[in-house]
Amino acid sequence: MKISISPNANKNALKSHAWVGLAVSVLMYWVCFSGALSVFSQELLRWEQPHVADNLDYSPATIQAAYEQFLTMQGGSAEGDIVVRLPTQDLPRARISADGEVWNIAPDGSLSEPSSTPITDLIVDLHVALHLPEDTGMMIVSMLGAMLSALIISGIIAHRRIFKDAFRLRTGNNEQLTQGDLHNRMSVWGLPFHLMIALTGVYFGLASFLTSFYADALYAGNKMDLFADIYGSSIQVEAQPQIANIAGALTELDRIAPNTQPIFVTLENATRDSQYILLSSQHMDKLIYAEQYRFDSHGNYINKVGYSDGKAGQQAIFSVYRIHFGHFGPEAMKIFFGLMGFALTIISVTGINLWLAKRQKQDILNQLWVGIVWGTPIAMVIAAIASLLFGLATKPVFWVILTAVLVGALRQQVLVKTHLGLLKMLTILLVILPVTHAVVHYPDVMVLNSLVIDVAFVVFAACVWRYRDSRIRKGWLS
Amino acid sequence: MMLSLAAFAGSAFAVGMFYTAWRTQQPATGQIMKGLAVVLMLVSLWLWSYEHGPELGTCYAVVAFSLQAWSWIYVARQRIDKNIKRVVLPFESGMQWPGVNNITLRLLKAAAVIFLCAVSAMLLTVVWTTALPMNKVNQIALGIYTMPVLWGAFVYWLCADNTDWRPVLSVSLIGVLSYLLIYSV
Repeated sequence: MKISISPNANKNALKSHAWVGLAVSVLMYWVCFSGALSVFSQELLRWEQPHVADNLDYSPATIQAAYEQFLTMQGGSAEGDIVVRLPTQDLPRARISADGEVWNIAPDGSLSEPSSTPITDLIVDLHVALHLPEDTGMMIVSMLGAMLSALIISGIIAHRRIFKDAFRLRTGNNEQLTQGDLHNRMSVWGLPFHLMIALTGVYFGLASFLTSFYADALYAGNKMDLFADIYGSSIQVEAQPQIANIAGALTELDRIAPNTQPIFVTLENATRDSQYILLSSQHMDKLIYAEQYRFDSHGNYINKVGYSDGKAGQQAIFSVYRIHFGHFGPEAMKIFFGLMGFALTIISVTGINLWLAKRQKQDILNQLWVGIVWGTPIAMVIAAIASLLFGLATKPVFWVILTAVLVGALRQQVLVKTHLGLLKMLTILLVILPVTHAVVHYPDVMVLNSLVIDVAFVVFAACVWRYRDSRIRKGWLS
Repeated sequence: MMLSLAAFAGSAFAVGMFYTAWRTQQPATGQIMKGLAVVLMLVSLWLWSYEHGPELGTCYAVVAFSLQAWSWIYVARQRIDKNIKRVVLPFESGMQWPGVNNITLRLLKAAAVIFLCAVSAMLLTVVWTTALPMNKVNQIALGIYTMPVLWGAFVYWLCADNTDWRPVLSVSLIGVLSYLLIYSV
């Protein structure tokens, strides 16, 4: 197949690719790396609290009991909605939350203990909002989605030998050649995935701006009408009891939608006269996050919002979350999505490495970049260890350690030493983390989820060590 | 389960055929192999969709194909162990900062990339999607999924063009015209 792109267009595309890539380099790396880890957020949640029992067998009565106990603890009222997360195969734990408080529900329906997942929060919040205030952070992360699509477009145009080099991966002593091949092959063969991540990523923080324009164009400026069309209109109920009959609604749902997986119970307008129950239930053959079934507070079925059999567009909008995070299908799908996310991380890193190598000099930019790339996982692991051992807040520890790594990298003038030093540090920390976790949580750690994650850390440590070793064998120290 | 395995094997064969087509020195054979590979890919997609429905099936097909291609590339990698001497570049302390004018220009470009391209892409998206003969919700959904591509295309143009003013002017014009179409019609 011959696709002809003029050398001039190719040169300009490369210029554009480099400009955008450099502009977003660090942020893109953080978002991709934390995004790859966030795919496993549910497993990490369980890893952080291994003593909380996993339990898929709950009855509507136990959920009702937990809700009533929670309501009593809250003094019988709640400012916002009350949400119950029901156990599912990928997160077999029930949790209840309102007004910023989250509690785990024991299998007998009692509230066991507050949910505390600072390590998962550190990772997920970095991905979602870069640890910035949520609105601002989400907007910036969403902009990165658009920049990713700009990088994809410029990358395709800049890649003149896209078909000629389709399967070429040259490894060996020429590091630059290997990195270039890795960058190009991973980008090209993962293109549909990368594009989908970019498009869905933009939705989370910036869709509201686009819908404002749509509201002006199609709904005479009335955003509520637009939301009603997409998300379904809200319902009005009056004189509802303060304590909702969740058990009744769950039992009724089993009859109305028997082949679905209930995932969330939301009490809209909780404890008020207009309170009603929203039961979100996943349709396993669809990508939409869930269908929402509405019940009054007595547990009587009212209607469903209609995402599952709604317009194609409505279903497409409600599929954004699951497509973005790979939370669908078997557990293997998560592993695939995690790998894809890591590939995107490698693409971000190798892209900047290639740009740095082309400059034919080394200065503080090289040091800073190595510091960012390896300092980020190092800071994450140290924050996790500090949280496990001393209960320290993860986010401040993460940023302090990352800053320290960057300062340390700047003080060092030999790039190879910085690089190998950081790799050694990361290897050691990746062994210390699972050991610490096992010691702190013994004997609760002896469950499959925790063991797999702890072993995975040791495997990662071995990979990093092997990478370091291969660099030494290539003569980096000579 | 059997269909999923067949679909997985089908796309693996498709990748293998693409690889064979890529390696072969005979163009005619290469064309046939590529054609067969495309057919196998489509069969694989159909099998995935038949087993898991069109939505999940398409996702599985795409993910499986990418991973198989990467695995193939890794297995078929070329090891080049030439005795290339590692060049240690001298470290230059300090940093060469660009001049004030240069920094101002870059900041303006960044602002255009973020704000101008975003607003123009959103406005143009609304204009072209609402012109399509489909219901409102589908128009909005189409816009949500395609606007980032348009934004990305504008950013690409702005950064690739040799003259800075041309894309800025054109993108601004597109934005203004789209705005007028939305708010004056």
